[in-house]
Amino acid sequence: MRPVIALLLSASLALAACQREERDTRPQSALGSGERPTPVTTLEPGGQRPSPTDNKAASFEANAFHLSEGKRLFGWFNCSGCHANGGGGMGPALMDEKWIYGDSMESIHATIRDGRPNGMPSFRDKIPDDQIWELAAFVRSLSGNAPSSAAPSRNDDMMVHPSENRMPDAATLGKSP
Amino acid sequence: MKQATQLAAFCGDPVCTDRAPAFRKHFGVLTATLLVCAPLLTAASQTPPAPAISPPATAAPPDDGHWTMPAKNYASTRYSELAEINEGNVKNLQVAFTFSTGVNKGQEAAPLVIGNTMYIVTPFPNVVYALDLSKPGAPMKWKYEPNPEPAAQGVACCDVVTRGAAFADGRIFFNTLDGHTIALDANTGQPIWNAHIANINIGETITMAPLVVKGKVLVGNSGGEMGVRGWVKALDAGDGHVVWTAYNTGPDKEVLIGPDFKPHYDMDKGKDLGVTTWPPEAWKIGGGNMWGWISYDPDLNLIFHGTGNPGPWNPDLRPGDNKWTSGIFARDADTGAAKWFYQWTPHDLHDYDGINEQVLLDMNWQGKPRKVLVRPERNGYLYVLDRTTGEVLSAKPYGPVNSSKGVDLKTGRLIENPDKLTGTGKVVRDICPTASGLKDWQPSAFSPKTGLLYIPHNNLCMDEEGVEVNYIAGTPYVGMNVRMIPGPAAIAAPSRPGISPPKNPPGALKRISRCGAARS
Repeated sequence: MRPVIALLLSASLALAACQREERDTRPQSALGSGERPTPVTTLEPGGQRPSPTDNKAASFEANAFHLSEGKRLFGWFNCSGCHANGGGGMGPALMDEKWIYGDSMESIHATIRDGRPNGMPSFRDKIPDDQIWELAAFVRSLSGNAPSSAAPSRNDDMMVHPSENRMPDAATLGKSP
Repeated sequence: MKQATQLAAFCGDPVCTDRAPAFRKHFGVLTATLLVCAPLLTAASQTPPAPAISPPATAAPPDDGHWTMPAKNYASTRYSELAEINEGNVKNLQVAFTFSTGVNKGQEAAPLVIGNTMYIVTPFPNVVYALDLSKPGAPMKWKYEPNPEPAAQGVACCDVVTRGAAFADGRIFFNTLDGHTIALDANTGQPIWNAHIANINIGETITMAPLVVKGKVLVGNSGGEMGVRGWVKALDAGDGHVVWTAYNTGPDKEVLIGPDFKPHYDMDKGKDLGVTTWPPEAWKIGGGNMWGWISYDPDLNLIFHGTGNPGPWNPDLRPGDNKWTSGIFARDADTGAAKWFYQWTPHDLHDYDGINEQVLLDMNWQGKPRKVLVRPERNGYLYVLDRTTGEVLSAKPYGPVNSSKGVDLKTGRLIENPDKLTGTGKVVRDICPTASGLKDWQPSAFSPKTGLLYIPHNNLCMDEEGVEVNYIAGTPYVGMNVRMIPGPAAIAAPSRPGISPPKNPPGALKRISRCGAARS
């Protein structure tokens, strides 16, 4: 009996593992995004305005495929030229807990798309919108804001920091369990 | 001959030329040389009436007590003859005043002092202050705020610095990060003209200090890490219009190479080398910027300026010698026409910009008087060039170098070390010196009293890995991962293969601090 139970157990585990991550195989090809406003501050008189969210954010954020694509694009679009591999240089560091313009997917997406006044260039019409979302998701993973099951793993080259899936979880970092 | 050996003494004694063992203990040897050879020179200079080595009088006139340009004079000696402060009274110095620039960024600009006024230009936002030194506390006379574009900070590769202003004919000339050259009335701070000559949207900034020569303001651009094509412009000091522009890559016509161009070495001879030593069109985004120092010889009517690194850093994208990057031009001061060129680092692999200062000196070389320029270069060699022809008289390392194996004095060519060739997907470790060079822009000084050149240098090595890179105008175009590590003898670092810590680290460390080196 025992071997049978073990077999059943392992079979069910294997089957469970077969549940595939959702991936949009036909991403939006259009350049540019909807002109949805993105807040640059959380200070709102009276606090009545709901912060706009984009339903795309969630579908990109914890998705292993999009995260690894974001990692590739981070090099290809020269993000690494300014932000290094997250440690910063010409631009601010991305692997720390400081977010000048907010840590939400929407804020990072807006930063890449529209630029920021002190030197972040606008990549509007240079990077397809879905790829901006992939970049935003990867940028969040640099500081441990992505599930380790989805974040990219080790590089095949010079290791400049622990791989993204080994970054300390930002949600629990510095807090007692 | 005696005087010739003196020069050898300051650019590296026989011990230094023995490169293999010198590599390990070089730093200590070098700095010891600097200190030890001082009495030698003093003793020698007692015999001839004139100093053996001295800057040309026209380029370094007797000190008038003013400091009108960062390099002090056209010969770039950065030496003050003022003697009120000496060994006896230096202990009595006290703080007379302090002044905060209010900018917490790299301060690379030497102040100017003209009469009783001190002029300071800050890093971005490039505010110019005039301080009245005749009154206690040095109160501010005026300030001028050019309000440069904040976005310029995003294309300034290596901090939002400026390397200073220049004074001439009652005017202060300076550059802003967002690509303006501005002339101010030195008495009132009122702007006289403002010339917009560089475009941040293609990655250009200006960080260098202008040099004013014969009514022209010489300015070069920065952006070697952004695929910016390098140039030097001469602006009319009267109204700011551009008199000439000399590019550092591209067709001869745009580089201002004409019939007067007579380079010394065969490698620099040929038509349109600024195009043919690149893959098609790559020269348009190939760097060779001029963000460092310019010297001027009034007797020869030549200006001397270096050219920055080729872009991108990843050398796989630009096979060829990549003229005219990482080299030095001598140009006619009036027309900008190139007279000669020498390439310190053909097909640069390690970001060895060629923009350091050149100190103009007259000296005896192997028994004959020669007009030379002395250049501690980023690639690790102290070059002595004949400044009338561009011939290399001497090129010896002044610190740990393993990225190359010396300079062939017959062909003038740097001898590459095949073990340190970089490329895409390849990790090369322990390359010395590092990308910022054995010595970066931080200028050295020459004392005619001691005959010594005082060199502030870096002692760092690096690991490099070439990666793919795409050119997007106005964004970084580098293609290299770099990890910097302490150089040999810097500190008691864990030993790594190929680089051994020195036998006597504490002593070495002491000498470092004494010579003010190891600054980045």
